Amino acid sequence: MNLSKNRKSFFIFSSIIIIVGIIFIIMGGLKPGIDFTGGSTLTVKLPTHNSSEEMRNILVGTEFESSIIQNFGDNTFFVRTFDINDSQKSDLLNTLDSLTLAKDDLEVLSFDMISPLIAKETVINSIWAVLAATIGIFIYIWWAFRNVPNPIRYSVASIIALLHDSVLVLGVFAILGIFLDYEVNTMFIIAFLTVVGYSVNDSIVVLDRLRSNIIDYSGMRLSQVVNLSVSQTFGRSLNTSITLLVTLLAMYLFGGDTLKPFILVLIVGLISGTYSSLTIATQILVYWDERKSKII
Amino acid sequence: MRRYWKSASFSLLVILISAFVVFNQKFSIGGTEIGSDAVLGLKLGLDLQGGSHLVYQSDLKDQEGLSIPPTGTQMQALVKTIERRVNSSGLGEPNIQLLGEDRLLIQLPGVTDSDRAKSLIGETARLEFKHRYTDATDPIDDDINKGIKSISLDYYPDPYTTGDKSTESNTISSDSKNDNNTTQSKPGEPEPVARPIGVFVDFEEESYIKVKNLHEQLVQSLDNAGYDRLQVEISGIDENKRFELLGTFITETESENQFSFMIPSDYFKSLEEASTKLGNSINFEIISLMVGQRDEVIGLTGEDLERAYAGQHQQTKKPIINIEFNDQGTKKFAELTTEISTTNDLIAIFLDDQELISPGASKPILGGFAFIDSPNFTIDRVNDLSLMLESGRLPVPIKLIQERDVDAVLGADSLSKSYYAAGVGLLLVILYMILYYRIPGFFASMALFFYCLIVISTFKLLSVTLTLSGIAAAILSVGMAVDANILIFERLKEELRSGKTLTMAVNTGFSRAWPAIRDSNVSTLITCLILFWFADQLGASMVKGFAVTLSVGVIISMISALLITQTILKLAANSILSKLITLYVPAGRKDLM
Repeated sequence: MNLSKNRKSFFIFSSIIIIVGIIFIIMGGLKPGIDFTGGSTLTVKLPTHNSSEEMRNILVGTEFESSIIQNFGDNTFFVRTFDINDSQKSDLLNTLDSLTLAKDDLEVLSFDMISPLIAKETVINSIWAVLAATIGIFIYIWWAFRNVPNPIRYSVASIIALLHDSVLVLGVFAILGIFLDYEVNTMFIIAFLTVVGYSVNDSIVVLDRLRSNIIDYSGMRLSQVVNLSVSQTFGRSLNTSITLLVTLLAMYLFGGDTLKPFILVLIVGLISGTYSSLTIATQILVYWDERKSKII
Repeated sequence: MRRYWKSASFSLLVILISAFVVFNQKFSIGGTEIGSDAVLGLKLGLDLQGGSHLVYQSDLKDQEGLSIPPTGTQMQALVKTIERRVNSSGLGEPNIQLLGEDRLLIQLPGVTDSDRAKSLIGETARLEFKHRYTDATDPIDDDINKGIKSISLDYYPDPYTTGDKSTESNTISSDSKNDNNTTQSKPGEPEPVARPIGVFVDFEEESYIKVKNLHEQLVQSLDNAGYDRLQVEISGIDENKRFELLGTFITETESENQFSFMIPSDYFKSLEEASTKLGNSINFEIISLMVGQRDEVIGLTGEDLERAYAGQHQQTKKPIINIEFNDQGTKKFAELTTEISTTNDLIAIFLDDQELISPGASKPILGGFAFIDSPNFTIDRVNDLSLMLESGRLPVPIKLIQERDVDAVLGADSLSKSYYAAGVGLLLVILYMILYYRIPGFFASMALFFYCLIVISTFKLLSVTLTLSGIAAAILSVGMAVDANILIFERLKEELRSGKTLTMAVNTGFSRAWPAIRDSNVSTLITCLILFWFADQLGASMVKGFAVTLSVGVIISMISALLITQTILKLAANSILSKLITLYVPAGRKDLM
């Protein structure tokens, strides 16, 4: 297995996917949910067959006119509106209830209300959480690889692989946002952080092999040690990914609609994480090693 | 062989204890109840069992209306008050938690009526008992009548009695002193009903103001249940009439300091008759104010109340509210009830200026114990009312900033789907591992089964709340546990290929796989720790559930790799299974190296 020969193609391949993702992000594909903007969401089940169009029409002229309505299927609808208080909530429910033949047949499956105040904090705290996690992992890897030359490079490589996976996941989610109206909510943040965790986890396993091989085969060129290490961990990486993928696919197919966007993010992140650990993280180390002028 | 017995028997002990914990729905250790009624006795989060998740923020303001932070003691008192309200409401056991300095997270598992819960929690009101006067007579300041300057008779300037020409009639009232100015009824229209006659009274400045105040009070009382009336008397040569007037039958005219009081229409047939009967020297006097209903603050508040609790009437078995006053309250309440027991007056109870109930009292209540009953009382109403009476006022005003309600049916649906999906996923993983890794794959499946057992029992023992995101985390942790096993087996395979004996291969394979397992899991733990901190700040129970579940899963994954997988492999290496070495290396994969 000679990865260094294909280094350019790996970098180009990743860049293309990431650029496409970024284009969709710029197009506004990442639609912030109420967790980040404040507002209310309501999931209701009607006893009658209605279309989202009918539901939208009934809200015309009310203060809920600008609500976003999605049909979840099975007569279940998702309504997103501003942060409503109790009396506004009952107004909204009464309005929606007029769609049904008998009164009070509307079933509220879930209701969320988040004031803009708390939403603003969520945004700030999310950014801090991601930053803090990244720094924590950076320092830990630096420390864990202290026995090989240039340990900081392993930290940088892992973090770049992590960035690669994060941007890719965000990009894919932006595409889903454009086509399927997926929203960025707390569940997405959890999925995103899981991807972050897995990406680093996987990079460390691959780099660990490199770590032990560098000590065992001192004198060999780094690109060769990398090739050897990757081919040694390849079986493990593939098997771990397949078992996880199998579990996630089962979750996606049988786990209910609420979890679907979440599982999808995990699947994308898992594939990206496995790929980036084997190719991006290792090739950054090789590229860095072979460069003429060295900074670190 | 002998040296593995220690770790083997320890593993077995852990597995047996875990099995006991998992398969006993409920049990108690040292008086602590462990387990629940849910599947496997796990504690379920709101998204899986349904319920309400509410976050409140202190809304404390200083005199200028600027927000000020509450003190720790105030927040503690707030938690206590809300706890008491919810606990005794039958809404289930709340989980109340302070978030930061000025926020409160309230979780109400299984609550379907979130509106009732919110009204119960958010009631910030001040409780007040007032004396409600009904049909009382208030004497009038005598000086009013001394300030009467002149009295005359004319048609009462009421717009409504002159048919539909309201604008016209308004002009009449403006100069109604002019006798020539009468209403012209249009031809063809029915003759208007006999026009009421009014007494026009000019007051001195001082009296005028008093009458004006009285009039305002009369008009205002029309908005309330009880209509106040003014008792007046008009007398002349032959007549002496005393009557009561509502606020609408007294009008201030356009003339300065003048009021017109309507004379009831059945007293005189016409203005002429009135003028004749009363003569030239008409006397007019305001006698008294008849109060229809009036609430008077008597200084009896929620602070005077000792207890309020729901009960049942001994004879009728109907729901009632029992109330008990403290010493000071008993005295005030005794005075109040003594005063009203002989009248039709009521005790009006207000919460945040909203009338709750207004019971009467048939006899003086001197002992400080009383009960309230009403035909409209239901058990829920009585419970809620007694709670509101008792807690009176929250120590800190609060406002709702986040709400998350999940229907129990949706929760149950998510739960069963998640269990199903997890089961299918696990089965597929086991199948894949056995097919790919043969004997070690079988061992890994065993290890995985034990891993799940230990994780579930740990959740139960630590009473970790299982949420939907927690299930996702559990799946990820299963993945990581599988990964740990795969790492060990891949290493084991390599060592076997390099010609080592099984025992040696197990030992070196394990020790070489360990750093990868350790480092990858520690980095995940770092992420979890940071997530936990972030979620704790925000009361984001979903994120917190994820972080806790994943941490527990990852820690146990490391322990189970160290303890169980290692023990199983070492035991197997020393048993009959070691003879079947080809089963450790899958066929067709030798070319990989």
